[in-house]
Amino acid sequence: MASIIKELNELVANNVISPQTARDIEGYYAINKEPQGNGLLTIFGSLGAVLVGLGIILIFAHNWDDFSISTKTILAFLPLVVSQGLAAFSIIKEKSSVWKNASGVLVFFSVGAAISLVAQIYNIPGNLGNFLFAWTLLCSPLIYLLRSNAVAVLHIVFATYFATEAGYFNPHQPWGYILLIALLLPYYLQQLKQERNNTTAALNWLLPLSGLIVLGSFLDGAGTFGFLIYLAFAGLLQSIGFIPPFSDEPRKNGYLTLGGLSIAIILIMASFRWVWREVVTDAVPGIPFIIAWLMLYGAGIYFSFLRKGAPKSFEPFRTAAFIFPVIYLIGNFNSLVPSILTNLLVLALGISIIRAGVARFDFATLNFGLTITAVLIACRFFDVNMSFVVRGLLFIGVGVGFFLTNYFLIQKKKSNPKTTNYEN
Amino acid sequence: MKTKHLLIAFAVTALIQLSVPAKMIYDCEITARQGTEYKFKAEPVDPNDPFRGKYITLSFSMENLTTKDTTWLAGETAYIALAKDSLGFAKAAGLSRKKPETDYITTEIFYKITDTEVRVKLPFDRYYMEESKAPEAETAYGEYAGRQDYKPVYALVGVKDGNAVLKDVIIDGMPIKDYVVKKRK
Repeated sequence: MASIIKELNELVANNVISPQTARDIEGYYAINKEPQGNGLLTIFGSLGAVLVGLGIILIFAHNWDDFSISTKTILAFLPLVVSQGLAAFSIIKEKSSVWKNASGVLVFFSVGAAISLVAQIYNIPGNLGNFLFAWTLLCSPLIYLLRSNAVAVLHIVFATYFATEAGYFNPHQPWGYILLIALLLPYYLQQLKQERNNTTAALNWLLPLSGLIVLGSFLDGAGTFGFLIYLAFAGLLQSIGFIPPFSDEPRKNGYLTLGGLSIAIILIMASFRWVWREVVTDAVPGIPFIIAWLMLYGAGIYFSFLRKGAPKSFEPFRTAAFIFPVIYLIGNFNSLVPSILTNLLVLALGISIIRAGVARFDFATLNFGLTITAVLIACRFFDVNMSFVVRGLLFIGVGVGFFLTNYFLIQKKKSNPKTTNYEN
Repeated sequence: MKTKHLLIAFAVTALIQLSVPAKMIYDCEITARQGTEYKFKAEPVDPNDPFRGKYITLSFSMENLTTKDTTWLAGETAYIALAKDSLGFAKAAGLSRKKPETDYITTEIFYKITDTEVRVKLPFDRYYMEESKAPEAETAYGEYAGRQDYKPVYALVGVKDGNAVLKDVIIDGMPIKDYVVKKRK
């Protein structure tokens, strides 16, 4: 590729092609420079580097008593300097993405190993959260400099690790997480525009998953209002899943699937009566929580207007997420009415998903709807006093329902073979 | 971005990455070499860190401090002025929000026990050991603590300008890692 770029300058200088054409050609090669099959090699190369990096950290963690402090210090820097050398080499020689990803991953783990070993030599206690934050922050430029998806994946994983460690196991809210994710976003958006490969798809799943895991660490003190914030966030994820480029490829659309799944789980949790007994007695949530909710809810609605395409079977989730705040408002005055309304909402959600599945001959959607309904019924066994016979009959009824709906869908599909099948 | 610019940006990143552990070493070396040595009475137990290996956590008798100031809050930064008792062990000469003139360590109020007593966390409560030795150290300490000729176990700490570096943990007059080896024989 380097030789083509050099020739481009010559061609522009001799007025053979225009500077714009040269830029277009350069852009084309920037996107399509990887030969076929390199994708798999990049993934395995990066995985290999992850294992080597983790191995180095584990060997250091043994704590070699026989080595002097100066030997240990040299050992702490050795992997870092070597891997930095490899990364610099892959930049200078414009090596393939396999090189860049693997060397980037090695630098990532070497930084962690170096800090760990120095902390070990000098008995620095340091808390794990601060250590993870410093480590991830120090390696964040590598994502851009090496254009490495593997480092981007590690960045999300370690940012999540940091936030759970600092937020769930300590009293502080992990604001550093927002910074780390903000640092990644420009790269991620650029990747979405330029490339449609499997590692970008991995980011499409990891980012929403990370957000869902970490959100709770910010909600200390929010009480049951946390349900509303989580639901607004899940609704926002869904709305993002409805806009291009995510809406084009359901399988690479973690936003839609994880958002839908979270909405179902949160609503089923909120269908318990005890939740609403707490809502009635809970104090008014703090202003920051209300602002956070308004922002997430508003962003969800904003993205809804940008929607394009995407399977309609996911529509009921979003509707449920946007209706729920009304029920929550009623919950501030009464605990029975909102728990009945939430149960009806989940039931309506389950049934509409089943209908969407049947209408589109889509077994995944159909069974997802059936599962929601079945879980709702199972949950009611915990807080409604019912005879075992009735419970047993209900279970048998739901089980038979599973068989029958699937059976009828198969029959219907056989008689109508040309229908498309979306499996979300 | 051109390769040259990329390389410059990478060089800056690499230098920053190298400077963090280097600065940690520098700070610790200065404190360990030039700082005053104090002995803190301690009790070791053995936990685990996923990245830094096995260590013994030290619990210090100096972590509970009495104070006339009733306004301390958990999480506040506090400075402990240091002095030595008649046996040469470290003792707290005062707890304040301002840096004292004498040797001191920077710490944080962990929680309030009563209005006049607070719990602090000393910033050198981890002593990293070779992975097989850390659990043995805990057991060895347990046995040693029950002995008739028990002498206080202490942490040897270098202190300078509020920084503290744990140099060694001494049990029965010898470094704990040597004591563990001696016990094996």
